[in-house]
Amino acid sequence: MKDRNGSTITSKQLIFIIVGSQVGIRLMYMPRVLTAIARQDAWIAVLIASIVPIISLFLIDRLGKRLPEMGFAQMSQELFGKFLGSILIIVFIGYVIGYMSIIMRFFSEVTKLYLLPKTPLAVILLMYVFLVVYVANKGARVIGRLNDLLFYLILVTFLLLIIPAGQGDYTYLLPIGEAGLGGIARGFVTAGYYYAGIEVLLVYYSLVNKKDEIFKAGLTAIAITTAFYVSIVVICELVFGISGLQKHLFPGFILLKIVQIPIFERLEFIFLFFWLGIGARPAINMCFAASLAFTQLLKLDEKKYLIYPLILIAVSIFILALLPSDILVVFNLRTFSGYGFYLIGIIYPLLFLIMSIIHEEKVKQNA
Amino acid sequence: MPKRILLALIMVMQAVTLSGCWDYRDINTVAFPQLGAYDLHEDGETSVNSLSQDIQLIDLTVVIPNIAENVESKFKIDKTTGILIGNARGQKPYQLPGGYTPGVASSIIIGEDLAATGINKLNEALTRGALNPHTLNYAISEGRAEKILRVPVKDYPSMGVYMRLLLRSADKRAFIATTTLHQFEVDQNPGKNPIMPLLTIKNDKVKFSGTAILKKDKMIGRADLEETQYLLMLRGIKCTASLPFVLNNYDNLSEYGSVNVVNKRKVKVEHDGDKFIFNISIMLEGELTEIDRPEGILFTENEELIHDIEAQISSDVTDKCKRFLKKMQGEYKVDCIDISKYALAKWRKELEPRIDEDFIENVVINVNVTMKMKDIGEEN
Repeated sequence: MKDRNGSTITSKQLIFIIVGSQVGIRLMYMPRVLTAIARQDAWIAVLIASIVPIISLFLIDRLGKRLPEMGFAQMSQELFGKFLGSILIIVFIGYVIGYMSIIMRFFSEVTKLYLLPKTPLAVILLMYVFLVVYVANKGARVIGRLNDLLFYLILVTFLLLIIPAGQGDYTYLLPIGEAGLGGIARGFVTAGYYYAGIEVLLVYYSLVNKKDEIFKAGLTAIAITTAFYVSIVVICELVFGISGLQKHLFPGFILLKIVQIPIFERLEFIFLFFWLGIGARPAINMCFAASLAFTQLLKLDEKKYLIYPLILIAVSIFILALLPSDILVVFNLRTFSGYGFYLIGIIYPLLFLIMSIIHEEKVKQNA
Repeated sequence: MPKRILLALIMVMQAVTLSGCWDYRDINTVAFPQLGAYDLHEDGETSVNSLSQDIQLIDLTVVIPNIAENVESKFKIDKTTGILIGNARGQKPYQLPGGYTPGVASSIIIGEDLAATGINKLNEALTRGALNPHTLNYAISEGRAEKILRVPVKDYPSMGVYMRLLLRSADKRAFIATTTLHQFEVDQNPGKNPIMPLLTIKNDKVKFSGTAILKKDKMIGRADLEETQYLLMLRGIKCTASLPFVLNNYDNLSEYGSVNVVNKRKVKVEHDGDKFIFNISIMLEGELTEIDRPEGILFTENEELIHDIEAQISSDVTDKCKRFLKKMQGEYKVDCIDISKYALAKWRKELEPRIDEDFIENVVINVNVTMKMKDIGEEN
């Protein structure tokens, strides 16, 4: 099924959409959280945890191959019946709203902390929400192109994060494996939900023009994300050490404050210049996915009516994002969104796949 | 058309609100301190908010360049008092017009009395502030740090500029310890302790007088300029500096001179039962700067001369390093040469609980120095 704007996306754009949905603000605080659990072996936990999105990708791809032209909402209703299928879609939309409200709150808090300390949080959130609604309303093709462009800009800013590695101390990474299987396993569970974002494929699958390239594109995207994650965790460990990392809420930003390069001077402001691109992508991609699912659920023409669920979702995100009293509450809520990812990213496609096998004949008829 | 108008309105709102509607400040009214001095509060002055008689107040003295035009002085020195640095900073608006932004300060000097009570509490205001760089240089002063700020500076626009030039990359010029805010923080990880350059005022000039030895964030001792050389070699801080030497050979005539060296270090650690043995190899590479020798002694005819110089330097440096290690283990009792990390790299779980207590004074440290003369210059 195509997005009825006439938009389809290429497999290359899918790579950047998946990377854009995964790599965001979490890059800045992930090293602290993971080293608290897996100590110097946090990078091993992150590396191994890449199996989680691969499993999700595999399940969604298997499912998509069985029902290649069906949208997510249609698939849900076909396999689970109208009522239960609709509930599942609403749960998916609820997950996106909850997850994105946390992401947007993080983004706004960081923007306020580093760039606009006196500007009210609600104003920053509102401006961000406007941006997300405007871009997501343009359709999958524009989103794909935007993610494509932003990826290269963000690659440049990520290279800035490598500069401080020269001040690192390799002994902080040693001895390897000392956290033990228990520590690495606990780190794996937490690191797994930093790969949240792959579940957008449930919606975007039907929009890709060449279905046989999806699995390879997904693997490429996961490899890129894993490379980002492992790099940032290793660099932060090298530079700060395990104890030092716990002192900073966002060690990824602190990385840029420890070096000074002539002419550029404060690297963190160069990074923050591209900041909006990093923070906006997950919200744009996920909000579009949720809105599209919503219009498909109600069997509406996306071209005419996409904007309305988009506004509804954006307003919900805005209100939810303002609820936590401070950033520490947001950090605690992050754990719940992580469990949400395991539900939507693994359980959902697995259930859908099982149902598609059980109802194979019915599915073949309707497809 | 209405959609375009709405879009234009949203874009204007974004341009206005996100470009600093609330955060705008006129740059001409903002004070940007270049240099800060932290001291224990001097009697006779009180803060605006006195909370308790038992809390030792802190003095914050800053050098602020005057960026406004047509002013008599190029800079001003402002001093306030508070319970900690952030509170002291918060008193500035009572006597400084405009805003106050510490984010461009390049150096902080801490009085030695205050440094002995602990620096972490002073650091908080800098590390919690998101706008502060972590490349600030730290130093400790003999006596009050405020006195250093008030030393008249003739050859530089202000003491802030002078200190920035003095402290930044000092290790590239000589055997001088340098510490940034970031370095100070990571040097408090298990098994590590920071060091800081020590400053003094001599003949109305601010100079390095050695290195402050810290146990985590508290100053506990000092090394003079000579000891600093060996401390930095043992700590593995790469410096480019001049080393003198004296040879006693060639018919008992003393030949002496100096070499310009760059130092490197390698550390190996072994575990023998309860004992930890560290083997430090210091490699010095250098070029001969000068030598006073008898007439007629040429390098091309006396090839062993280079080797004699190398051997003499190796021997002298080894002796002095051993002397410093004895002082470190006997007097300071902290690892100020950053070798415990190699033991942690192998036995972290076992050692981390006790690495900062009773460890370094009970290990065996062997040091071996090799000098390699790469260049003798143009002269023979």
